[in-house]
Amino acid sequence: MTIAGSLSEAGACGADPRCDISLTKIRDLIYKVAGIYLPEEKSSFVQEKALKRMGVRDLASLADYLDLLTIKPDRDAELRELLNEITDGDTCLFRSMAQADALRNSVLEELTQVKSHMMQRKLRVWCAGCSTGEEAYTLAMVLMDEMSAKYAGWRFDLMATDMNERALAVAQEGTYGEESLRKTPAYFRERYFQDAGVRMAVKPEVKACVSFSRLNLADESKMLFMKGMNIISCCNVLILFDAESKRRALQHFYSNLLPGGYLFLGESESLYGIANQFRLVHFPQITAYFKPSLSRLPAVKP
Amino acid sequence: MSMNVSEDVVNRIKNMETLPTMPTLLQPLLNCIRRPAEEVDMDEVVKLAEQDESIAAQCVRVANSPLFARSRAAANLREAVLSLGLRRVEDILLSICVSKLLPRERYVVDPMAFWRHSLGCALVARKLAEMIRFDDPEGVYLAGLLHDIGILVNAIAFPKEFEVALEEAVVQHLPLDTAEQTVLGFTHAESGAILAEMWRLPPHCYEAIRFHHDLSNAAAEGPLAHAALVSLADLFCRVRDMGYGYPEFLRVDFAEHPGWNLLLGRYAELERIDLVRFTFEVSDAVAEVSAVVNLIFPGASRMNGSNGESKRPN
Repeated sequence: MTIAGSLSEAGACGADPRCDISLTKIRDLIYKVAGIYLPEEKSSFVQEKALKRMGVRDLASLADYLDLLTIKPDRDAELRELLNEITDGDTCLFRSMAQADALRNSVLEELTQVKSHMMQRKLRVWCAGCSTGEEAYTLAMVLMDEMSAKYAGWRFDLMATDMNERALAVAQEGTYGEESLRKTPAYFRERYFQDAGVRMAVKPEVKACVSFSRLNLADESKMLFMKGMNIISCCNVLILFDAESKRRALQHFYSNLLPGGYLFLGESESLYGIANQFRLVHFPQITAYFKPSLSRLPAVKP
Repeated sequence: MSMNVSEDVVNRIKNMETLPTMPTLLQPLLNCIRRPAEEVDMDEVVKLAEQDESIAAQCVRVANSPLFARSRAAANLREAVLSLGLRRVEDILLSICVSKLLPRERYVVDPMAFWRHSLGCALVARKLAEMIRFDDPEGVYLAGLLHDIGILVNAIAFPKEFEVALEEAVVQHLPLDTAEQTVLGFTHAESGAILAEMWRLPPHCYEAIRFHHDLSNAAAEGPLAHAALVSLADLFCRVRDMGYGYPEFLRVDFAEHPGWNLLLGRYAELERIDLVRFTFEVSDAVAEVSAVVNLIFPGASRMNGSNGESKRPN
């Protein structure tokens, strides 16, 4: 039973006769396999995507579709198709305001305090699986803005990587349509973008902060070179990885983070049962993963 | 944090002009709820609730709301129990009772946010209790519902100082108890505990009220499992949009939380909880909790937040 289950039994489907327990099971399966939580309020969205796939596979009921996802030989391929449908086309700038807020309100203060005794006042940030650049530029704008307002003398290096060359080319161009800007607060839109015809271009000073390069997160030897990170952001990339590749990528992330560093995933992603070396940290509306610094590890009793 | 509130403060609380009075229905209702379900007679609860017409009527209204989505509307309390079950009606009654502790116009805090937080905390704490197989989930529920009554005490007995503390908390994005400690010299946990003593609430409620922000200082006070569960639920609610109605700059590491560590040795199930998933489920509950609170406070204003302004977000 859900947390509010004692308040109401209406559940996710309400009185919709097409919907049944299968939909809940499909949401559960997606969480177990891909580590992505689809909240109850997104049930109709999941249903819509499942119905679309049922059309392609010529199935009449969600129960049959659940069978296809769980007991049929091509279940893995079908789940991938469904995940593609579910994650398709929902990238945009400032996609997670909660993540931006966690950086601004907690993480930067903590990281700059930890590193304040060092000569070099610089944070290293890696946007892993940056696709067409929205998340990387969001990070760059948030960091630029915070550092100029609150952390005088601090700088950052932001590396953004993806394995897809075409996506990287789009990222490097840095122009976006209204759809990509739909969640960008007016404050950032006014300060960090300029007109580029019907689209908006990321200002050159923001672009100058980000270095894009090609990297496959499954390439073990190249992963070894991404050392010394304070923040790694890898949003909605690992969900299509199988468990073993995911585990390996996360081990690299952990080694590449400096003690005290943070790994951010997508808002609805979870590492439960996949990687237990990280410490889970809650910020308002978002969770992140933390690599404890030596001073934060539990004290060993004499 | 001081363990003892000054005598002056205790006296001011005891002599409050409009001391929150314990709803007459609350104590007998608590007695029913704390007994095993099979021993509780439906007629007993119905008769009890019907002593207060307005509570009974409100309960029927909540039971008939779309939230509880039953095909046939209940005409009275008895029908509501038949269609929703005794446990659920008890929950509704309890929430209504507790919500009547104070007239709406006397709040300094947003009443919607306050009751959303209280009810949310009750539900989340009970769910956690069930997940770790704690033997008194209903007691935890009640403790969650009442854990912040000290906020009402502060709002009534110390309205000016409390307003300053709240303002400080809102502007600085601080936890409310931190700002109270600075401005008032004590927190809602301490003033709530004084009220809990006056009302002779059960010990587990007293502990949750007194120690939900202060578990590390409470080691010698008792088993404290209720307080620990409420204290964790309080944080889950505050990181998932069921806080005090203003944004706090929180960073919570449950593994380092004294409540977590207090329960860890005693309840092995705790370690097996998928905290990320649980957190998502807390978010899922927000809409339903808000809907119930809206029913209990019809017409009250909603909290809102907006990011559309072009000034630098703070």
